[in-house]
Amino acid sequence: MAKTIMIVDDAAFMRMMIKDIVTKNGYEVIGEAENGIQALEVYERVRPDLVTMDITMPERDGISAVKDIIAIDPAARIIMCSAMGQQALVLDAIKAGAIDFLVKPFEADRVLHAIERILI
Amino acid sequence: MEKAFLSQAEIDGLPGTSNGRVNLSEQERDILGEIGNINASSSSTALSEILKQRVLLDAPAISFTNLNELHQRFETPYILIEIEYTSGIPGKNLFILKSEDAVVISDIMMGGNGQDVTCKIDELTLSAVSEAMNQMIGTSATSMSEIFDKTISISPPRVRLINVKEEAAQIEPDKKEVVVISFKLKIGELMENQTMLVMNLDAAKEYVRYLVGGTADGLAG
Repeated sequence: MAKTIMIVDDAAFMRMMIKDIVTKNGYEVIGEAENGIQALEVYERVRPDLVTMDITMPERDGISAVKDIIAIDPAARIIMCSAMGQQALVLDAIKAGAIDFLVKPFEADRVLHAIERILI
Repeated sequence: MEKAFLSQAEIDGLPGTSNGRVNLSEQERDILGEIGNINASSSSTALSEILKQRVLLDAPAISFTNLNELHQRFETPYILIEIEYTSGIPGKNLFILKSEDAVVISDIMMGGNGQDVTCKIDELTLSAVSEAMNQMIGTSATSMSEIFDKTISISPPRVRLINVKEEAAQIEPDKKEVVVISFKLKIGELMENQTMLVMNLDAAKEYVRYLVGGTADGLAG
């Protein structure tokens, strides 16, 4: 059975791009969210194998959303995908429970490599 | 070619640039120009990676005006994308694009070559150009945070299509004086756009004081 992924990003364009990259490579996207509040709601409902999480989003940012998700599922596997590559933010995200951090702009291979490393 | 940005002559003609109303020292101008340089060079590097095109920058032009007047200078219709700094540095970034250029950028971002595109602006086009700006400013925030040793946060991008001059006049009723550090971006052979860092004059002066070793109030984060 295909491994499942949930994509969190406020930009519809970015959700579409990531979805395209992962579905072409055999993963199934079972949930999408456009802010940190939705992210928790959708996560609880779909329980994906992996989450890609943006940081700068309206309503609630991605680092707060990682904390929320880890609080209900400490085994959640989350990769940050953000243009904000500042060391302090990367550390905050990892401390919150994210497993990896991809800095935008990124190539499709980089995303796939990070996902494979976690899901295989 | 119709232009959606200001020429240096037009920028120089903006109120406050030559009439002595604005009191900014040579050092303050230099520092603001340098902040603009760091900001624009790392954003243009990001844009160059996103579009796989060479992106060239002109030297920064510093001018003084208010946002109401600034917007009325752009040729309509245009797309305005704004990202505000929410901590670490005052002000906001504006990216001014012609509709046809936005379509080309979004086509390239979706794997096309930017040629023979139909000039139709839809939600996905606006989302693509907003994401491009988000990645540009995110990248430049990373560079600036390393240089100034301070975490810099940004807001999500806000995108608007401005069709007529009347709309431009209504976007920013605020007549408060701002300093505008603007750059022309030349993207391959495809287009020229304008990117701007805008700060309230008082906040800009305070920020410069902070950078040269003093303290600044209100610079959270």
